[in-house]
Amino acid sequence: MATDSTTAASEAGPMISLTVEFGGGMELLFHHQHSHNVQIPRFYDPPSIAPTSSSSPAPPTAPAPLQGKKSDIRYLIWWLREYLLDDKNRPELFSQGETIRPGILILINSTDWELEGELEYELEEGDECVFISTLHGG
Amino acid sequence: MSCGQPAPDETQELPAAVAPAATCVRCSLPPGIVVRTTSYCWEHFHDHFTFAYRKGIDGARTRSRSGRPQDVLNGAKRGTKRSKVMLAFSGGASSRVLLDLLQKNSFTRPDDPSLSNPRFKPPPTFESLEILYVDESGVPGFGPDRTEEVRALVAETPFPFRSIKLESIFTPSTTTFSTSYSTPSLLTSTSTSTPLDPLTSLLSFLSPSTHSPTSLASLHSSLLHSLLRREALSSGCEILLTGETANRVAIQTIAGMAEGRGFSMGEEVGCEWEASEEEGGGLLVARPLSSILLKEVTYYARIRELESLTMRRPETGVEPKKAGIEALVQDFVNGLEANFPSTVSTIIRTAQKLGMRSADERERKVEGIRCPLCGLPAQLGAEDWRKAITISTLSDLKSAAPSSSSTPSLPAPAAAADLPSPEAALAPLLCYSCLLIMQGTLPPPRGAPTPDEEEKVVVLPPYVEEMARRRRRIAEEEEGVVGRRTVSGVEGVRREVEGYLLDE
Repeated sequence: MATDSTTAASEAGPMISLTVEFGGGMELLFHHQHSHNVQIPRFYDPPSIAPTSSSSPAPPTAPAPLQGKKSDIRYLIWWLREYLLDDKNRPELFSQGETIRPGILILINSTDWELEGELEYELEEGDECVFISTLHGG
Repeated sequence: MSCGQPAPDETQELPAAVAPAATCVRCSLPPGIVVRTTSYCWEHFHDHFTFAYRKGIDGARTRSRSGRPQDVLNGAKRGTKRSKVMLAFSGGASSRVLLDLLQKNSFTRPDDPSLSNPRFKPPPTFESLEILYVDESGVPGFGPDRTEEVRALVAETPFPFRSIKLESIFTPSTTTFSTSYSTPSLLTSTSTSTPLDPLTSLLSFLSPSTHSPTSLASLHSSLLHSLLRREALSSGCEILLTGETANRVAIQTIAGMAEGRGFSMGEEVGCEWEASEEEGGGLLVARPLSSILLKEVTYYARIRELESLTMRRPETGVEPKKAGIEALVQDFVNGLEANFPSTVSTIIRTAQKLGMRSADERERKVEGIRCPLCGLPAQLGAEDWRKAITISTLSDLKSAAPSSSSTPSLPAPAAAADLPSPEAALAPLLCYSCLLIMQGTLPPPRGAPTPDEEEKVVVLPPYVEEMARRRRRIAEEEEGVVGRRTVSGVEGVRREVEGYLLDE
C-alpha cells in the first residue's frame, strides 16, 4: 500500500492544488479574500495534526511526506487554520477540535460535505471546497 | 435508596448517525444537498425549497385575498383588491432570498415567459411590495451606514426601495418623554421644552452603562420592530414580511423563554400574527421562512447566485459567548444541531403549537393588552408578580414612594418637566420581560463611582407614551372613570369634600 502511494506521489508530485472559497463572512478571517488557490501536501502524518499536539506550534511550512494518509478534509481544516487563517490566536472562529465550527457549511465540488463522508473525504487535484458561514444570521 | 441525581453514564455513546441516501429522494440522480436527513439533487432541492416557501407565505396570501380578520368575520367581500406588502430588508442572505422568492413566486406577471401554461394567467398575490431598510448606524458598535450597498443589492428588482434611520422612531416628537429607572415603578415625565434630537434620544435609550448586553439587544429589537410596524401601517401596507429563518426562530424561542417572554411567545415565533387591531388599522406580521433552515437558505442563495451583505454583530468588545443570552443560545443550538440535525425543527415545531394571545383575544372580541415598549401581548400584574418573587432592598422601597425628594433630576431639556405623579408610573403597564429589562440594572463595576441620577434617566420613544396613554384610557373606561382631578394639600382636600361634611 505504501509502495503504491509512494509511486503515485512520485508520478504526480508531493503537492495537490485546490480552490478554496469562503462566503457568508468567512472571507473576513482569510485576508478578506473570497477565493484562494492553495497547494497542500498530498499525504500527511495523522499524529502530527492530532488535537493533543495542537499546543505545539506548526512548522513554518507543512511537511510533505511522500507517503502516509491521503490528505482529507480533516487535514485541510488543520492546514487552513495553521497556514491561512489571519488571527492564529482565535482558531475557535473557524474550527472546533479537528472539525469545523458548528454553523459553517462546506461544499465539496458543489456537493454537501455530508454526502462526501465529511472529514474523511480524500482530496483530489483540482477539487473545489467552499466554506460558507451561517453564523452571522441572515 | 438515594433519590439523588443519577451518575452520568460516560460509557454510553451517541447513536451512530444515519448515512444519507446515495440518490435524490425524488429521482435517481446523485444528491447535492442533505436537508435534515433527506438527500436532494439540486433541481429537486429547488422545488422542495419553493414548496416550503409557498407553505410559509400561505397565511399572508390568504390575508391578501380575504382582507382583515374583522372584515372576514363581518362577511365583507374583497373582490379583486389585494394587500400592499412591506418587506423588512436587512441586506442579509435571508431577506435577499425572501425578496427573490417573492419576485419569482408572488409577483409573476401574466407576460412572464417562464409560465408553463401561458393561457393560465394568475394575478399577482399581492398588490405591490415596498422594500424598507432600517439603517442602524446610529447604534454604537454597528459601524458605518450601509444604505447604498443595500440599495445596490435590490437595484435589479422592480420594487421601490426606501431607507429609514432607526433613530426616526423618536420622531415626530414635540416633547421629551423619559423615565427614570432609579425608581422601581419607573416614573415617567414629559418635558415640554425643546425635545432632544432623535440620535441623542436613541443613544440615551440604547447605550446606558447600567444595562446588560441582553437588555440592550432586547431594547434594540423592540425599537426596530416597532419602527417596522409603524412604517408599514403609515405606508398603507396590510402585511409586513420579515426574513427570520427556522434557526433564528429556534434561538429566539429559547432565548425569549430565558428573558421572560413566555407570555407572548406565540406571537414571537409563529408564522404570522395580527400586530394591530386598532380601528382602521390591522397589520399582519408574517415570517414566510420560519420553517426553513438557514442552511437551505444559504444554499438557495448560492444556486441562485444572490449577492448579500455579511451581517455585523455590534462590536461590544466582549467575548461572543458573553455578549448576551441570544449569542449564548446561538452557540448552544448550533453545537447541538451539528450532532442532531433535527434540533432546530423540533424546537420550532414545538413552539409553533403554542396558541397566540392576539388570536385568542380576537375570538373573544376583547381588546388585547399590549406592552407599550415592545408592542407584544402583555399580562396584567407583571409588576406585582416580580415584587412577589424578588427581594427588594429598603432603599428601593423608600424610593418607590412618590415624593418630591425621590423625583430624579432630568437632563437639561427635561429639566422643566412636570412633577411625575403615581399615574405616570410605567412599570405597571410593561410586560414581564420589558419590566425585567427596565428595572434590572447592573451594579456599577467595583471601584467605579455610582452613576448620577441623571445617568439613570432614559429617553423613551413617543410611541411608548402614546401606547401608555391608550392603556390608561382603556383601564379608566373599564373602571367607569369619566375624568380625573388632582387635589393636593389638606386645604385642597377640605375644599373638595366641603359639601359632604356634616356639621358638628
